Amino acid sequence: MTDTRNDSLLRAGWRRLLLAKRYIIWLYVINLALGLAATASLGPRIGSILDSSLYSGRLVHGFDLGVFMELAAKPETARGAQMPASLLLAIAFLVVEIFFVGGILAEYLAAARLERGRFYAACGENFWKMVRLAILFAIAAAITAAIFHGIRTGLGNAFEYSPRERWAFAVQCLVLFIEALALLWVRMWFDLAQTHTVASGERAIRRSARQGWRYARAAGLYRAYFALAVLTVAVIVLGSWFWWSIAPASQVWASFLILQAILFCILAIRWWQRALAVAWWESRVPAQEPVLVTEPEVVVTPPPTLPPPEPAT
Amino acid sequence: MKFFGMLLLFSALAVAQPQPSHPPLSQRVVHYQIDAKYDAKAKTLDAAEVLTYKNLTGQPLSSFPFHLYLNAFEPKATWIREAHRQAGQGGRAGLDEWDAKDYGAIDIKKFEVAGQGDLTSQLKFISPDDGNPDDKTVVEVQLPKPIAPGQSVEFHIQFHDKFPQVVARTGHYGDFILGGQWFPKVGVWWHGAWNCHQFHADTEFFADFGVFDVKLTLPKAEVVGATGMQTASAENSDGTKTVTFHAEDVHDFAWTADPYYKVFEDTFQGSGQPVHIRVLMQPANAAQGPREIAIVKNTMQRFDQWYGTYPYPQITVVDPAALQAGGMEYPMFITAGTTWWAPDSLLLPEGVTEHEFGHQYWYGIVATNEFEEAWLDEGINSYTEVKVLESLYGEYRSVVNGKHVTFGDREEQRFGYSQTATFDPMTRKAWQFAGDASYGGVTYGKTASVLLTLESLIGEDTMQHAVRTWFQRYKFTHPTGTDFLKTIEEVSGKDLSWYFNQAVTGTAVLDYEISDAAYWPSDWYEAKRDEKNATYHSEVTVHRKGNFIFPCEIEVRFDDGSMVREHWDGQDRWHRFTYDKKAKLVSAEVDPDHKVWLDVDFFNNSKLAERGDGRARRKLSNYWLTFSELLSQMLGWIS
Ligand SMILES: [Zn+2]
Repeated sequence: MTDTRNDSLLRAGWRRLLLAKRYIIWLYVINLALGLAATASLGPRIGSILDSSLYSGRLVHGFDLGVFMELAAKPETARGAQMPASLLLAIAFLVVEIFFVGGILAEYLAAARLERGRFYAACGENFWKMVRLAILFAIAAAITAAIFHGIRTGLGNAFEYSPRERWAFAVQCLVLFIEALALLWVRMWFDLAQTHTVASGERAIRRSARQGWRYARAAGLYRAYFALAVLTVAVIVLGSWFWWSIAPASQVWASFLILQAILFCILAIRWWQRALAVAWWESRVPAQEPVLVTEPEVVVTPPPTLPPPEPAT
Repeated sequence: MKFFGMLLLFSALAVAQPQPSHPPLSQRVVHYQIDAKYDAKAKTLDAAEVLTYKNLTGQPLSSFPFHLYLNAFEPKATWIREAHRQAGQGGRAGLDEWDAKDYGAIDIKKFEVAGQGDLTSQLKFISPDDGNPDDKTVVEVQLPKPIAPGQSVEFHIQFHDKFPQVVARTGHYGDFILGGQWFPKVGVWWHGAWNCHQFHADTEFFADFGVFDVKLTLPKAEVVGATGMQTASAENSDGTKTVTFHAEDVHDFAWTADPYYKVFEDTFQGSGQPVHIRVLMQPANAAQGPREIAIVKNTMQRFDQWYGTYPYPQITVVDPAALQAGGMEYPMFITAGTTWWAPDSLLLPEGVTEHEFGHQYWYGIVATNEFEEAWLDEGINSYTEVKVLESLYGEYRSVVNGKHVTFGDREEQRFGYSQTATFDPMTRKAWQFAGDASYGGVTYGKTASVLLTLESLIGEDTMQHAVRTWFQRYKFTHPTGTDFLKTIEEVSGKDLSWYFNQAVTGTAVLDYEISDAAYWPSDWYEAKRDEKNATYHSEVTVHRKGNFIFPCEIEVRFDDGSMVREHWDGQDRWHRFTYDKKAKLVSAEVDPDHKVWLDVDFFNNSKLAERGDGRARRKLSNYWLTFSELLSQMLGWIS
């Protein structure tokens, strides 16, 4: 009974995801492009050491940790030299995703393809609201993580001298799992807050967050979120296993394709979750809040001539 | 009462395995009789020690220094001072902040000398190494009446121990206790003087051989392990038991107790008497028990075959409750380092146990001075560790033996050395190294690499014969580094001073590179060439980048499949080889058989005449790309 409801919610989300697939593909391409940019300077630096040495063969066929450690210890590849670029471009990707949230949610809500102008108008119109919601989410997630960190530290202290090390480890794992569930719920809460913002045109972020909190008491939606989280883990585990055991260590292209497929899948599944939130919101909210959402399309697709309400430029 | 009596009889029968008496293996200078009571709640110990010291120095002795190692764990002690310095350097003993639980101490309550009275008030702390007035790890006593050569003296010492939470491989952790360096231990009269150094963050130990009779009284529930053989166990009316141990021809005594130990037992039969293997595992790691037994037996088999007989009737392997207590050697007693989740392909538990067992031969039996010549123990032991683990798991897989990922022990040793090649020679006294990384990299890693490289000069079999001779000739004698180097020269029949001067007593760095490998058509100036019959001029330049001079082999390959082996004495800074052939140069490689493990850079040992396919570069770039994208997506979760 519950399962069929879950199924229909997942299907409704899936239909919306397919509708917006071109943007998901775009996001993936941007993810890849930024990754390539972050990696660009690495090639020449390690190439000057690896390309003309026979010793690098020990990294091609199999993976000799000793050779890798020797490479990583060289001044040319000094530890962490590549990290700032990757971090910076990861932040850039975060900004891109925040920008796309408004547009893609608008398209999900419309349940129809938006013309490009409307799409980007929705992106721009919601950008600063989404930035503020992201900050609020980060705070809520940090508080949640801090509480669980405290619990784990406390348990760690309680078990410090216990000879039942495996039992202590199992308890820590259980707490970590509960923490992951809690963070998933916080994410769902803010996905609903984003949906509310885009659907209603709500300007006050605090009100959106409050609305999201109210809607987030939804077991069915949470079950569907959880199912997709499990799917993400399964994709990573099975994909890694496939990459580890099927792709010959020396086949760089095969390895690249498998890893990229995994990355694309987990990105798409994340956007599938947002689609779930929209589908659920549409199925529930009209009954509760008839005033706000009788005609969601009108709200989410403002005429392109409207000036952006926030200094998005 | 009857039941209790039967229980006593049963336990006495079960444990009474007195050592067969045999002629002494060592010159027994000391005989320790210690009666100790351990308070498991307070983590303290009170004991009465009777030390009989036989003056075999050939001269009268009027002063005696004693190690009081547990005093190292006082805030102003040299050990703590150095450990705090190491914290800034990322060292192993690194102690960032003082914590009361790190406090440890040993207090002498009463010090009497038979026939000379109570000398407690005469005890004086001395700091022969650094003059630190607050260091109390060495105490000295002047006797009113000197002890004549050949005479014995009896010291009666009452002392109180406060164990720290596990630090420097001694102390408690929960219900676990490792009693290491826990009693007043007399120094060694060595080369005409007392040798009794303070306890430093990077020093280990040095002591005279003798006999130990130790009685430990502790709670009944404790499972106990120690140096030597258990000869009796009796329960007391106050809920405690007294366990008695006897050990011969050892120079230290350590013990452990934990009520939760799971005991695994086996027997090794080599060229000597059967050796009882006793493994005490933490309950969580019990599944790793058979793994520990297997590596102990395999290691014992290699040592027995390669170097000589293990002379003791037992070896005890302890899986400590805290990793900080792991990886330590005491005579007939070692601590392992494992976790319940350690996968079979990760050979770290095997590496630790092999290493600590190896110490039985070098630290335990040959018994060199670990304060002054640590490389003779840790270094030779790291070399034999490489040899044993490789014989069991393969040359490049003896640390990580995965399907796709591999890592060899000799790679690990060389890497440790290559990161700290220029600071200290191997012969530096242990506490005088520039830092913990240099101490570790040089003492363990460099010595292993020096001896592995030596195999290329004298041959692997000769090297094994030399190490065997070293063990057989010097067991139970406290030899020096000079003795070791002389043994190698004698067995190999070669003058190796040119090598030892650079590698052992020097800090010269060995780094050879192919600085140039190129070819061009011999008639490059012709506008038109006959491609079919063209000949090519090839040049290979070998460059000695470091100041370590070492003869080397160079392998030059051509695209017709032909190959040339060259030899260069390495005396000049560089040398060029030229070839005129119908084939193009493909590659040149110095040390093509990978025998020179002192070379600090293996990447520049070879050069392709034409840039390779870059697969290694692309593979690593691909990994970094994946990481970067994943990082982006994880951060994107905030959006
Ligand atoms: Zn060691």
